[in-house]
Amino acid sequence: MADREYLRPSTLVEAVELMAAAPGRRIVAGGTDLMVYIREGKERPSALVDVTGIPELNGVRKLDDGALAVGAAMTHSMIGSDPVIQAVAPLLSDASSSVGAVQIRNLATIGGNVVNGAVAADTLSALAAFDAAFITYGAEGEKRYTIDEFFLSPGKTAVGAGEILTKIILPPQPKAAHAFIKVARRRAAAISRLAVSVMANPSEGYARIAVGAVLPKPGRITMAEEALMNGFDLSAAKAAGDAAKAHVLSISGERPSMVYKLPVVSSAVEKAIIKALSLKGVK
Amino acid sequence: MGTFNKVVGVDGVRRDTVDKLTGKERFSGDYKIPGALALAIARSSEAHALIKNIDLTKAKALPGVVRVFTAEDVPGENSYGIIPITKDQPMLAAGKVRFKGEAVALVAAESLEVAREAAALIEVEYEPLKASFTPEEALADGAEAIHDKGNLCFEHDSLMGDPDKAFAEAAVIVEDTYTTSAIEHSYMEPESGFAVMEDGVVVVTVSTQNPHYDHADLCRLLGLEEDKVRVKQATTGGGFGGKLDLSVHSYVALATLLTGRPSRLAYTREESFAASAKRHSFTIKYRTAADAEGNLLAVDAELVADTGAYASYGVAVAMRAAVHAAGPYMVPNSRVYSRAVYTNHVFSGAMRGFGVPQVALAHESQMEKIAAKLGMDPIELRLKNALKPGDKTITGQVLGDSVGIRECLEKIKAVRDEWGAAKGDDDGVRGIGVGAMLYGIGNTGVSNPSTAQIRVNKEGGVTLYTGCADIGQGSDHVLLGICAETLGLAREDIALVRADTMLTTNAGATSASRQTYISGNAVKAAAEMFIAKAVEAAAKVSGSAASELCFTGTAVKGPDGELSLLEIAESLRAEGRELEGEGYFDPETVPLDHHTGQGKPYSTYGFAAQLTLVHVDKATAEVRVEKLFAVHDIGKAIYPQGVIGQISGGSAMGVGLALMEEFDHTSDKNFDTYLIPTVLDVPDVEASFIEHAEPTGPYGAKGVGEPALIPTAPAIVNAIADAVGVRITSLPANLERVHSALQLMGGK
Ligand SMILES: Cc1cc2nc3c(=O)[nH]c(=O)nc-3n(C[C@H](O)[C@H](O)[C@H](O)COP(=O)(O)OP(=O)(O)OC[C@H]3O[C@@H](n4cnc5c(N)ncnc54)[C@H](O)[C@@H]3O)c2cc1C
Repeated sequence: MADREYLRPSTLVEAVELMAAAPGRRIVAGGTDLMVYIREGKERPSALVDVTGIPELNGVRKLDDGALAVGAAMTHSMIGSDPVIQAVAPLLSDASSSVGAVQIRNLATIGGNVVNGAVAADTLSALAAFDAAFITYGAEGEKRYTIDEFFLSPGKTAVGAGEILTKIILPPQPKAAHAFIKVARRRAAAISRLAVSVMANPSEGYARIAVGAVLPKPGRITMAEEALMNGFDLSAAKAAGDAAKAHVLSISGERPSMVYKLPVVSSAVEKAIIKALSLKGVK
Repeated sequence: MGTFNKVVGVDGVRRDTVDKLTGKERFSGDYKIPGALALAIARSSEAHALIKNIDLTKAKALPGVVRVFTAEDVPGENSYGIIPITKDQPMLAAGKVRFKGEAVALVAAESLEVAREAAALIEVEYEPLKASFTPEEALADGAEAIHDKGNLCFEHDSLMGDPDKAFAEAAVIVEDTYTTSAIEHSYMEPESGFAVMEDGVVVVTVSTQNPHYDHADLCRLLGLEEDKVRVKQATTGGGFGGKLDLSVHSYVALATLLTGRPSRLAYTREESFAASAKRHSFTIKYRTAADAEGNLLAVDAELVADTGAYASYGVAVAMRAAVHAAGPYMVPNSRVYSRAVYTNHVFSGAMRGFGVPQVALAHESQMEKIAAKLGMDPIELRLKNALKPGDKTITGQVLGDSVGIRECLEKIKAVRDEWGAAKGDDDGVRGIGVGAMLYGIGNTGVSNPSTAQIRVNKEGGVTLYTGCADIGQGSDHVLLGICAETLGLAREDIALVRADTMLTTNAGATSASRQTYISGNAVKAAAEMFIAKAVEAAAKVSGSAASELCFTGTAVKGPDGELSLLEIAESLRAEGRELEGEGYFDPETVPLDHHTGQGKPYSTYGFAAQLTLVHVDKATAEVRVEKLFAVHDIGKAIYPQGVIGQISGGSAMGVGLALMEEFDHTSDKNFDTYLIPTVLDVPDVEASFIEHAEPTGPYGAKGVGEPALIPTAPAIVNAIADAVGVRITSLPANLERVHSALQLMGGK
């Protein structure tokens, strides 16, 4: 690997300046995506700008409106064990805890997961369920994106070169039960074949359902959520699963990999709802 | 004589543990070699093509490039291979390439970056040929011949009794077709080594399982006399059969011989994936006949193995698979036809089990199908047919005393009773499965001796000399244990010189689960001869009768005092003799008949049975192996922890074979997409063993390295079938296959 400069700014302003100072520079956080691309020769940055030391990117804060602001440089290990996130957004804790393996989670950040934008990135379905928003800082100052604006297509986000993701905002939700399911070929360090995020509260008629690894961009599946509005029981869970499957089919079509994935979208969404609500009498 | 029985069968910290854990142990890549040339290999982009031209101009012009080599630079015969009848692999492609990733040219440069850049600048003009990627394509009319002799690398027939008659009279016949995948060994240390010139000798230090074979083929490739090449085994980070072939050896040797400078080469993981052997994928058509009581009457099996572009161990795999086709059962009538077929995949070679894990899937699935048809308990059916001492195998071999399969199965049965019925939960279904096996220790039907020496060293202690390569499995500890036990010493009292072709003699390959049994016997014989010689010499010096003398490990004691080993050695030296014990052991075998496959392929067999409990998620088809109980008849555990370690690691490999490993030749470049089990995918293996002492084994020992893996995948597949009610016949039983099985599921 060629030698390259490694820069570690301590403020946002400095980071933006460093990024603008020379062409070909790349932001790096944990490096668990970027270093792989560099080794494969897909990326050849002239210098790396490490943003993990910038205060705005670190820590969790409860905002006045009850939303949670999660620092983009928080590692998956931190998110998995942070008491505030565990209390307010356990779905995200679970999703982060499913990433890679311990060694990866200790380095990899949620910001990197999100900006890298892989279809199978494990936090995306959870963030979709929350209708998360994304705060960036760049040459033009601060920007806020909705999840729909943020993710453009597989591997592509709206974040421009030199623009730094600082925070992920989780809007307040009613108290809800949750379940996160990841399906992969092995139990650690494996890409998701499918991920399912569910939050639900029957007494409030509240349900959030999103899936990962089978759609070109993250988003809630409202058809599936609506299926739960008829009641939070086993048949509704099945109906929600079928609705999720119909949604995935309408967008992603019948590719060879879908022979397995499509039916499992329906059964895994059903399973996640059952798990979240501890519905009994399955089989 | 000093048999204190205080080393064999006793646990303790293995001698290499601390150095490996603290990083003190040096692998070949850890050595500093001042002035060493860096090497890089230009590899074929084509699976099958004629080489029209190789343009080295740009590569040679790159500053820092010292020399570029092609097939024309190979001084000796540019063909090698472990099996004498199939030395068909060039070290650098000559006129033709047969798989994508084959070595075409070699660059030696002052730095690795330059060497790699130059390798990328080599321009090869190919004329593509039609490639075959399955044995079926390769054997079809009109297939392009991959080698001059055609695409059938090897075939083997075996016939016993009258299978046709047995099938005609059978009460039950079951049949199916089973397939298994190509698998990458995935050793932690990729291929690595270096060469230096020392007094006109090319000295190659390399990660290897077989230094003496390496030496012979290096001499052949380089056109050098035996005493001009020396191979030293470096500490080796795993092999599993993948380091039985030459890899970096020939390149560092060639570069150093032709430039006079040291050179080094370590494969990247991608190179290791592209250019090292794989486990043979098999297609197995299998028919079994039984009577109404469940006695096996006959098997009829046709095995086809994809041996890839070069033979490597293909002959051995096809033959061993055939010999083991019926499993650990008494089958009076059999017909087995086994073939290894060339294709344009990277070559297949040896991998833990040599074809036996593949046939075990078939015979163990068949047993379940028979049990189901007859409404019998699958373990009872196995017990009914399990081999006993004195029974005949399908090669007509009459088994000796050490046949522990019945006891293994009895244990499995007791454990199954303890576990109770497999019950599903909200998420899915559970099932219990059995796998059983036999495995012949040593090479198949050929002489495969080992040798060892024990000498007094300058300090007056003893040194053990063995050619046996310890590749991490612990043969050093085992052989020292046998030596110590026999001499009445502790392991720490004995110095070890290991796997260096100048200092040690041939112990054969560290493969075929043979080193404990065969080299162990050679070491034991050397120790016994050493004692006899010391006592005889001491008797002469002291004037006592040999019967009055006692060997103590460090001296010989008599009525009039004792003589140290140094004193005895001196007295012998005065006669022009040495205080040295030499050991030799070659297991008794009878070559297999070419037409009937009958003979005595091995002098002894290991046996095993494993039991697994699996959970199958009904929503996602994920399989979790929740419990794995293994019991192996190993003869005698020289170092019990080592046996448990082998069984645990082998079972983990078996989980990979069963559930996820499948080498995709077009897309798997490294561990990003090629998945092997992690510690979270493997249950705590309950490993155990029984000791049916083998009379010809050292202290009764046989072997366990490969048996460890063989029953695991069948046990898992049988457990999935038990859970789901549908049998998976193609490995791996991945998400997609289990999911289709679930969809066919009748319910349970
Ligand atoms: C062995 C292994 C296993 C893995 N398993 C999983 C898995 O199970 N699930 C999963 O989802 N992912 C997995 N990954 C992928 C990866 O670990 C995650 O996507 C991780 O979250 C990336 O974070 P990072 O901090 O390492 O990103 P980096 O590699 O540092 O960055 C990734 C990209 O984001 C950009 N970037 C990073 N931070 C910012 C920021 N604050 N502002 C703007 N741009 C930024 C970088 O420029 C780069 O383009 C795995 C990776 C490996 C190597």
